[in-house]
Amino acid sequence: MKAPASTSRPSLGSLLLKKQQRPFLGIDKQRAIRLFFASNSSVAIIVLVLIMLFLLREGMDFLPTYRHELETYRRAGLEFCDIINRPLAEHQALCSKLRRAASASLNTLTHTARTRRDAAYELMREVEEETRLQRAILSDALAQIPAASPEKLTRLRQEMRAATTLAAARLQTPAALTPEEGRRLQRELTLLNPEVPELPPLLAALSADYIRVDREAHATFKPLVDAVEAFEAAPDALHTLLDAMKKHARETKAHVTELHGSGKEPSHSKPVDFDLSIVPLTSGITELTAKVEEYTLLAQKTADTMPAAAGTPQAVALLAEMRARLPDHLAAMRQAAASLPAWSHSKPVSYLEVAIAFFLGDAWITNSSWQDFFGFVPLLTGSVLIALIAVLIATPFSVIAAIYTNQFASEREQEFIKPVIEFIQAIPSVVLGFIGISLLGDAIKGVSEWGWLQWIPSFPIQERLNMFNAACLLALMAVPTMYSLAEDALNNVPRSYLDASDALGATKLQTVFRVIVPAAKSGIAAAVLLGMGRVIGETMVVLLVAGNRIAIPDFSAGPGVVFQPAHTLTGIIAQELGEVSRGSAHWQALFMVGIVLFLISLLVNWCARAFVRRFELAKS
Amino acid sequence: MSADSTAKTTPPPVVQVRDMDFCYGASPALFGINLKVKYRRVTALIGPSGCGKSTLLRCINRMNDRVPSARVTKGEVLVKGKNIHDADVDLTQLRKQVGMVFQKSNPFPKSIYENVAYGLRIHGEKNKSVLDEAVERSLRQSALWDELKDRLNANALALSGGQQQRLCIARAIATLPDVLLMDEPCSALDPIATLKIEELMHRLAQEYTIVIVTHNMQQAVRVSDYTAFLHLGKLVEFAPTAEFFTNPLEKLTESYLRGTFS
Amino acid sequence: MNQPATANPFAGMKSRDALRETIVRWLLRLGTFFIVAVTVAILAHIMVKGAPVAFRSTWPFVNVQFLTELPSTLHVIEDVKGGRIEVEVNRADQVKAQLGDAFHSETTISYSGGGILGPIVGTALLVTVSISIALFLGVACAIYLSEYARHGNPLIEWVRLAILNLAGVPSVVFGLFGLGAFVLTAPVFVDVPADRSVFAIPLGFTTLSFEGWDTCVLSGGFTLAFVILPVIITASEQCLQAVPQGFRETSMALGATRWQTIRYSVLPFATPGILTSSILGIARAAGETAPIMFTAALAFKDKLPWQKDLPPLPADASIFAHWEQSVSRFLGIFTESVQALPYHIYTLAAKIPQNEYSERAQYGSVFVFLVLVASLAASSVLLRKRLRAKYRW
Repeated sequence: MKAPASTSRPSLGSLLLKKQQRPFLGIDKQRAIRLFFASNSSVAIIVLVLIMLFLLREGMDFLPTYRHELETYRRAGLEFCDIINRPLAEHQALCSKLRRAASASLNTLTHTARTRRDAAYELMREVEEETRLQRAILSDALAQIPAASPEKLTRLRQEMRAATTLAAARLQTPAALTPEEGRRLQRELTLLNPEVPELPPLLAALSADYIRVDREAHATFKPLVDAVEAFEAAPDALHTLLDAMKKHARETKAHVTELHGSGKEPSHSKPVDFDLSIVPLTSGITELTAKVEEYTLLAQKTADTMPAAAGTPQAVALLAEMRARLPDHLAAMRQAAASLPAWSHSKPVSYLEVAIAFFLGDAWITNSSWQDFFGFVPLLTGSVLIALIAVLIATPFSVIAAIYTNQFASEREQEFIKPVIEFIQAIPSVVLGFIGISLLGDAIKGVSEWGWLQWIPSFPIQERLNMFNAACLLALMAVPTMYSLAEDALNNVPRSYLDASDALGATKLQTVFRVIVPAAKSGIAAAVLLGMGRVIGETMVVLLVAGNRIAIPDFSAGPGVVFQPAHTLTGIIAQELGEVSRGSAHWQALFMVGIVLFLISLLVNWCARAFVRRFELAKS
Repeated sequence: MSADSTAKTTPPPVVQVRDMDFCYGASPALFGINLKVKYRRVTALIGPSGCGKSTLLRCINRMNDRVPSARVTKGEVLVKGKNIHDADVDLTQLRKQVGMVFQKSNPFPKSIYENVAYGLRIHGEKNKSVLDEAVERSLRQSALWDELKDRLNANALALSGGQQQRLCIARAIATLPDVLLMDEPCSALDPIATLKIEELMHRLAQEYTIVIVTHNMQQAVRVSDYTAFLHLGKLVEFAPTAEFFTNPLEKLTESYLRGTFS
Repeated sequence: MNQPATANPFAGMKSRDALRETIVRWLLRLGTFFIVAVTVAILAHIMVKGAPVAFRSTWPFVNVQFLTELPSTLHVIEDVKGGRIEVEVNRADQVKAQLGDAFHSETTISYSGGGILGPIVGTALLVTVSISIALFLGVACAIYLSEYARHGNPLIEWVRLAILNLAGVPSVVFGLFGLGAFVLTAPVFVDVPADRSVFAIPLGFTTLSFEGWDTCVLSGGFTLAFVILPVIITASEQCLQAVPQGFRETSMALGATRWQTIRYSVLPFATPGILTSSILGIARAAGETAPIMFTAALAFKDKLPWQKDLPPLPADASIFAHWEQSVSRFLGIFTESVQALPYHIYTLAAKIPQNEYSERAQYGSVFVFLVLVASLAASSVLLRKRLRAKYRW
């Protein structure tokens, strides 16, 4: 402090006024600072708005673009072909049932012979695999031009022989072959040599045996086999006609797209006259209807003549199922044919139709040579199903863990459990996805092959990467969120409830499950919801682990549906966005999916808040 | 009333504290307490804050067990003639028979019916008609039945403060306890609600033995038959209320009553 | 006391109840420790499989090559004896020539050779950019929420709601946003605006064109910044709130302005906490994959971001030219697309077939990544614990 400052004290007025110095544009420094922070605080709002804006900017044009695409689809006559083509897909499904029934039947007779043949082949393959290097060298030497020296060849042959002898000696006789046959095969396999093209005699005999048995089996089940073939061939004529129509429609569409692609100067080449181009299709209606009728009669006839008996109960069941489904299929075909005359290529596509095609469409087909469809339902079902399974797995564990740590655990246990569970949050999702690929997939598949678990539907499972696998990992990811929120909810239960319950002589367990958990239940519900939000929005795990099959899961498999692969809203964006060009319908469709995801996350948040708020209202 | 004459005709004391020392960890809270709570009488515990009156009350149903380091270091507490620290005493049974009402009303966030039935339910009562009967009896005894009989399924948290406290009393007496402990039950209530609770206590005293902690001497005068005065963890004086307030034996009591307490 | 001692009015309940109590307790404990066990098992699995790749049993104990080389394609050359030699792409031909007749076959495995320096550097850059932006915005927002805002201010309600919602937005949606906003729209100075420019403002000597930054560190960093923004805001606000109200009142009572109070009496005490909590934000940013997929990350790149082919300067170049070149080299780092560890792991896991060689690269990368992220998270937790003990008001 300098002396003069303290000697002459400034007047109070000047001190107060000092604050008002140097206003800039009517804003003094304090206000400016305040404004700076205020504007920064709204950054969260701005970002939310920006997210919505940019998603809309890229995705908004989806409806017009998709409408245009669907219009072309209709104008060019692709839709016309699909009217017949779509119900015809059922024919394939029925065919595959028939084939499975036939092969199951044949299998009853040919099984032994085939197993024996395959076992012998397997042994030969093993020897060949073991002696791979020697074989390759010998073959090279033999093919060499000019020919290798005889001494060298002899030496190589000896090496080859030594290797086969060694490999053959190591072979175990499989159960399908008798020990006697095994020994004989071992002997014969030591002679295995690239110079000898013939199979070892025993193997040849086994092969011939199989062919004979197979022929016999075909003879035994001749009516069935014939019926299968006849049924497969039933729509051939229809297919021929349809293929011609499809070709025409595709050409028209290609023409349109080409014009549209270079559409800067439409006057250069004349636009496609849809009224003209559609004529070859519409004029074929009678023929097409006739062909459909022909197909239905043919199919019905085969079904009538088809034997009800088959080799196995399973095959009989398949046949019966096929017979039961056939009338519906044929009726659908006839109905489709009958609806043809009413179809018009010039009917405009309304926005409602486009919205329905997107939000309720059951197919997401891209990069197709026929027509791209952007149906939302397969992705949504995948996402929702996976999220539901994950929440179903995660909820009991997180709630149990929250109750245990909050009410029962000792201090030391708490100090151990809490950091570990919180640590799960720090594991990056891509690492968990990797675990799903490298570890969990095989583990689940392995478990599904255990004999005593075969009562579980769809065990043993086919796919390593499936919804269940993804859901398990997502459940682990959801645990920390759900756990810490549920624990907060339990913590917030007033202590006086505990006092009251204790004073009435309740045991710890009674207090916890009759008072504390019910009092915290809306908090726990909010925790579960937020966990679900986290799970639905998760990308990497589902992208890596869910199997990425774009189809609505087959719910007819019952609870076993969870072991099917699926694709998800988040996964499809991550997988496909990198490969599409900006502004295409596909690009815009992906942004539409993003918009829906964004809205779902807002909805989940809103619901969780509503839960908590109701809880707080009830408490006060 | 004369305590001496009634004492001869009434059964032995329901609660008896004998020469008890009590500690929170290393710091002692009560020293050498001797107290006999008479059957179906109201006993008030008074004293300045921190004197240990709540601790003493909580010793009677072993609520102090929840404080990890708290324990009785000397002497014993007998309820119905049984030392409650014996190994064969089941805590839940003890607390079923020694009910407690807290300073702040604490009904559960459940319906009124469920609140009252809670005690019976946790002790295994499943019969609906028994529960109905007990709920009605308890609510009648706590003078709530007429007010609430039409909305037994309403949430208990929607009641007024006084109603909530009476509901807590109803909850405590639903299990038919022998002793009812009350820890400053009126301290959070307005005068009218307080009055109602006090009336209630008079009626309840005909069926229950009540021990009440209060910091309000007038209340002790109004509701109790016996009064005990605690100071710094010691029981200074214990006497029938009339004698206690008119003719205290101890100097300390006198100065506390006069308000010249140092 | 006159009652017979045999009558126990408080006889214990049936032992069945006690048994049930014990069983339920154990079930709860089992459920809890199941989660713990799963977590530990996963970590142990990665340790066991990944540690041998990252560490060596001899000095210097770490696999230097793995940590200091760029990823490359691995060539496995098999000789006629069945022996296998692993080489990098550059030495493959040389080895083949050496083997001569003994050469038998060659297999190539993408991305599995070399090391993971590129991804580590890329992740470090992305994290640096994102945490700088997020800290600046987040702390400023937290200061307003905690120091300036009055209760009941509608703006505050909206801000809190927005923060909550922002925290719930799926990361892939952030990726879409980053793609639309930073990669395709953000403003840049160019001489001639590109076709895709949304609009351009001529400034005379140059043009401010809204045509985006392309996929680069900057786009990815900004996107990640918004992903971690809610974390930073919430943590910072908690730290500011933890500073006792008395500090502020004392300062205000001495005549300090609001800003002086914040500057001298609040921030100094809150800063350590804010910084420790932001480590958690770093861990989160480092772990995210979806937001950088379209904004910054590349599956493969054989150069580090600063290894750029700039024209060599003439021998007599002025000091200014040297200076200019180093500046442009430095700034160029942020306009390059990079490899990032999480994306590298995704590529290794999803895009190449599984075999022993790719498995080694996978587990090695996952291990290093996990160690980095986990040590960040753990240090944040530990530091916070220590701080809490130190600043107990």
